[in-house]
Amino acid sequence: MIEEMDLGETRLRASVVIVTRDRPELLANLLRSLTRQTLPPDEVVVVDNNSRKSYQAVFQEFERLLPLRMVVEEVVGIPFVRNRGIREAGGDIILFTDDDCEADPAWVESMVRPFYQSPHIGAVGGEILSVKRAGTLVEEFCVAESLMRVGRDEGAG
Amino acid sequence: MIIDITKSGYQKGYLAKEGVGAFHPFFATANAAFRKEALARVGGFDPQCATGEDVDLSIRVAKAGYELWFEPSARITHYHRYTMKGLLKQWFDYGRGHAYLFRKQLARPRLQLYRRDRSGRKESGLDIACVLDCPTPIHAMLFLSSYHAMHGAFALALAARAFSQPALAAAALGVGLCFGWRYFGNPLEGGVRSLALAGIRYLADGAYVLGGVLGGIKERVIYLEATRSRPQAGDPARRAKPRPDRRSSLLAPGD
Repeated sequence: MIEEMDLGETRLRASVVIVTRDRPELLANLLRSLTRQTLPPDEVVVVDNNSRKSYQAVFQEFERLLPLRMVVEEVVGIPFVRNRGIREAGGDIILFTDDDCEADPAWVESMVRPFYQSPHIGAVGGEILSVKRAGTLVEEFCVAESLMRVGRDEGAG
Repeated sequence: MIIDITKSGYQKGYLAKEGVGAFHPFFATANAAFRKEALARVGGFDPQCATGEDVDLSIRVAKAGYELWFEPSARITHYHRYTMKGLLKQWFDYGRGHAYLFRKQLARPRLQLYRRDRSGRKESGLDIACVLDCPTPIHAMLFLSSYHAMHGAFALALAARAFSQPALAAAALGVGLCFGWRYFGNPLEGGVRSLALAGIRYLADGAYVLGGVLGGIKERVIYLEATRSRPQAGDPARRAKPRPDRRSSLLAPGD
């Protein structure tokens, strides 16, 4: 599929933007999943939203494995911080995910490929799977609730 | 570890660019990609959104003339890690954020009353049916469910009692208990665990409604919504079935 999408086109550069706050150990999971991509991202921008915890160890672990950049945004507030990520990102396509997520190996490739089909495609979304650890009732509620919430209008497609 | 596969219900391909009533297709930022040029054209995320900034962005990108494409093979796994305090804060923010978004995205002030089918089954045809939609001086978005019916009936019972109307008070109390039963479920059927989940749901709904009312006061919009159906305890196999018939509102929060 890669050959097909590269046919005579300028290659679209992919930047992954991740916002994080005080969860370096979760971020490490996500970054690990980004090192195993069938189409490696051109850039991974991590915006640290004024964390108290240090991300130094995570950064050192992954800076050799990924085209990783970390910036600190002191203003707290997710939309604002995501905009900072957009400003920092140099890619043609900006992929968003969260620090408590993990990407499938084909994630970047599958997200970027549709953009080659048509210049009119402005946004691509993928499937989100919820994982429940053997956890608390509150977590069970969140998973059950996301089942109810994630459903979309089927007729929309 | 249990993996619940929650299918979005979108089909692979282009999504409708127009919303239906208060429902608009969107991509949660846990798994979404945008052309940088499209982000530049619409000005990125709206920093005023407490939550739902992803819904808002999807709507604006679609309005700017871009297509939205759903790609089911692009999969992200999300690990839920919430404490009770975090949960309540999150749901309070959902309420606040939704009030803001409704005010922002719906141009003309209207009263829109939605009736939700608690079972979430598509064949009922009532899930997203807007049963009342008329122009009013200010926006009113009411998604009524057993949560509101239960409280409304109990409030009526108290009022009737205060005005010495014992028959009305008893009737309203009965109606309230019926909706309470629907809301909390049958404890004999689901056991303690399901009752505890219903309790968490009740607190989350309380935070949600409070956020919606306070956000609504600020935005001059009347916004009422609560969860639609009981989270099911126990049997993960039953829960893990994809439910493409679920529909979520324009403002259904991403996690």
